Amino acid sequence: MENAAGTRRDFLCGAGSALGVTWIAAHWPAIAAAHTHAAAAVAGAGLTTLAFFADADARDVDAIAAQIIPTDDAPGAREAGALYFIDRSLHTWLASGGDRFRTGLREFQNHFAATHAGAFAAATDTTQHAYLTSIEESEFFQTVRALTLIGLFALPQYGGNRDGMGWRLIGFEDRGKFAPPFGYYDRDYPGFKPP
Amino acid sequence: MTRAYRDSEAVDFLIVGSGAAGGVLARELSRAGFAVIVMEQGARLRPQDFEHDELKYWLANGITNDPNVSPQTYRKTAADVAKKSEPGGINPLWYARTVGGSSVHFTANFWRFHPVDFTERSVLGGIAGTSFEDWPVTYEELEPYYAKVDWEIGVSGLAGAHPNEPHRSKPYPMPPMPVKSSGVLLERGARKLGLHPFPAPLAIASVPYRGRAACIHCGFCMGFGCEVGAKSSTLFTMIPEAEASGRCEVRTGSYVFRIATNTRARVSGVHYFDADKRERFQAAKAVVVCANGAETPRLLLMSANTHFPQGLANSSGLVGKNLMFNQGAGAFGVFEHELNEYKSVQATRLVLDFYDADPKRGFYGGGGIDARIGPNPIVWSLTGPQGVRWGKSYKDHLRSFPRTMLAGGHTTSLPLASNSVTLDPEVKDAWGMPVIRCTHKEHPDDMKFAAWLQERAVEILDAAGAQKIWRDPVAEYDVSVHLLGTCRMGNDPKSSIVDRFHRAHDVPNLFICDGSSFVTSGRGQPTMTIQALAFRAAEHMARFARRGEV
Repeated sequence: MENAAGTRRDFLCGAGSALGVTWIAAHWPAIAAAHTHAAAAVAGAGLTTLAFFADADARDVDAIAAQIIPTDDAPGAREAGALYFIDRSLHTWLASGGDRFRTGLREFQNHFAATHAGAFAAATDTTQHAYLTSIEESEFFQTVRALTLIGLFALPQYGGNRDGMGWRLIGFEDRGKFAPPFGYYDRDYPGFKPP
Repeated sequence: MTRAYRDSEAVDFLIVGSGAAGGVLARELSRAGFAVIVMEQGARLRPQDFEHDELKYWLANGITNDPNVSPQTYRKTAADVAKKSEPGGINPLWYARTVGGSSVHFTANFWRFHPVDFTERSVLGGIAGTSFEDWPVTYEELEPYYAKVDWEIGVSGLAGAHPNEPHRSKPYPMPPMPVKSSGVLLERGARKLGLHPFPAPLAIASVPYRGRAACIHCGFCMGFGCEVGAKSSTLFTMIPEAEASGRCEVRTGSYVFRIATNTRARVSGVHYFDADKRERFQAAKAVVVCANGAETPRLLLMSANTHFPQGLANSSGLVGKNLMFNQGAGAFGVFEHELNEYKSVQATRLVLDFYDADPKRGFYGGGGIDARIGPNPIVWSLTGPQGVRWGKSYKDHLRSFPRTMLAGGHTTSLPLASNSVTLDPEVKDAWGMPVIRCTHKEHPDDMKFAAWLQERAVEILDAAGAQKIWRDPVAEYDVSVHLLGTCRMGNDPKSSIVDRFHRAHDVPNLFICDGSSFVTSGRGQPTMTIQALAFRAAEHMARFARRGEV
C-alpha cells in the first residue's frame, strides 16, 4: 500500500497544489451519502438533461472540458459526457460547493468578456486554448480540470465515462477477470530461473 | 457457532481491532480455549460488497477512516500549528475501518524482515538524534511464526529464488502469482545490471487455498477489498476461523474509547460506543490492543486516569513516539508495447539487492524495488509527469497508461522521538473524543536513501528498454498507511512500552500488538512481520493466562 499513500499524496497534494483539488476534497463528504443512493446514481448513466447548469453555462463548461481532453481521432471529454458528470456532481454530492463553482464560472466568463467578443464557448479553438492557458493556475480551472478527469474515468453510473469511453481512450478494461498473458512482454516468458 | 457475550461477562481476552494482528490473536486465543471478544469500529463486509469503484475507495473514504467523522490534525514539527484534515478529505494516518482492518485493502506485499532488521543498531552503531535500537527478538526467534503466516494466512512465492533470502524453515505453500509484463521487464533490466530479481511474495492465493478461491486477476487489490476472497485478509482467514471456535465474538460498530483499570491498577474492561453511539462497558480479564500504530497510542493516551496520569502503559512517556511511515520513491517507465498493468496483482517481481544499509553511502537506509501497476485510471489521470497538465499532449500522455509501469522503491524510516501521535488539545471527533495529532517529519537520511533508490529504479527501467522515464521529486510524506513504532517493544521499561512478549511493562494484563510494536521500520512492507509477531504473542499470552499470570 505504500505507493497508495504516495500516489494519493501526489494526487491530493502534488496535483492538488492545484487549488481545485483541495476544493473538491473539501466537498467529498456528501459522496458517501451519494453512495447510499446508488440506485439513483445508476440512473445518472447516459444523462442527457442538466440539473445544475443553465444552457449558456453548460456550453462554456463543456467547452473547457473539451479543451482539457480534446476530441481527436478518439472521443474526448465532450463525448464522454464529462459535462454531465460535473453537472450531476454539483447537483448532488458536490451541491455544497455549487455557489462557489458558479462564482468561479461567473468570474471566468466576465474576465473573458472583458477582452473578447462573445461567449467562451463560441470562440475559436486557438482563442479558447490561449485563454485557458492564461488562467490555468486559477482555482476554477483546476477544479474543472479535476472534475473533467474524474468524470472521464469514474464509473459510468456517476454520469460521465459514457459507455466506458474514458476507459477505452486509455486502454483500460474493467472486465473483472483476466488470465495470463496480461501484456506483450509476459507472453513468451520462459518461466523464472534462479540466477 | 458465533458466540455472543454479555457486557458484564468478563471475557478472558478483549481484543481492540480486528485487523492484521487482531485477527490472528482472535483466532489463536479462541482456539486455545479462551473466551474472546474482538471490538471493531467498522462494519463487516462480504466479498460481494466490494466494488471496482475508484471514486468511492480512493477519493471518498469508502472503507477508510473519514475526516468527516474522525478528523486528525497534522504538523511537521512541534513548532508548527497542526492543521485539521478537511471534512471528507484525507487523514494523514490512513487505515481501513472495517472487519479485517487494513488487511482488507492492503496490496498484500508480504516480505519477511531480514535478520539484520532486528540487530541493525548493533551492526551499524547508533545514529545520533534518533531512537535507533535493536529489537528484543531476533529473526531466528520469529522465523517459525513467519512460516505460520505463510501457511495459515496464505502467502504465494518461491523459496530459494534470491541470494540474500533469509533462512526459512518451510517453502511457500503456494506458487508465485503469474508474472506480469512489468515483472518481466524489471527482471530483464535488473539482471542486465547484475541484480537478483525474484518472484514477489504476496498474501494472495495463486491457487485455491484453505477453502478460498484463487485470484482472478481483476486488478483491484491496492486500496480495494477482494471480491473473491483470494486476498489473504484476516477478514477471509483468521476471523472466520476464530468464530468457528465457538468462543469468539466479533462485535462490529464498537468504538473503544477508554480502557478501564481497577483499584489494583489492573485492566478491568473497556468503555466503548456501540453502533448507536451509546456508551457501554465490557468487562474483561485482559485487554489486547491491536488498533494500529495510530489508534493504539491514542487509546492508551485517552485512558489516562489517577493511577496512570500520563496515559495507560506510559510511565516511560514514550507512548505515541517514534512514529515511522516507511519512505518510498519510484519512477514510471513507458515501453513500446502494451503491459496492461491494470490487470492482476500489483507486484510480481522484486529486487532486494539494496536491502542492507551501506555506511559507504554516507547515510543510513535500505530498501527494495518492485515492479507494479501503480494507480488506477482516475488517480493515473490526476497525477502524471510535471509540465503539461491538459490538452492534446496530456491526452496523449493518458493514452500511455497500458504501456507504463512503476518501478516502486520502498525504504526505511528512522525512529525519531519528535515524530508522534498525541491527542489534539482542541479538536474532537463526532463522538466528542480528542482526535489524533500527528507530528511527522522525515530524518534527512530517509530522504537521501529514497532519492538514492529512485536512481536505481531509473537505471533498471532504462536497462529494461523504457522509451521514456518520468518521476516525481522525492517528497516528504504527509499521508501514510504504514503506522509503525508508537508503542515499541523493548527489555527496558524506561525506553519501551511493551516487553518482548507484548505485555505492557506497567500493566500485567494489558497487551499491545500491531505496527506500534515495531522498533525499526523494516524496508517498507510491515504486515507480514505484524502477523508473525501476533502469532508469537498469542502463544505467550496463552501461556501466561494458563499459569494465572494475567
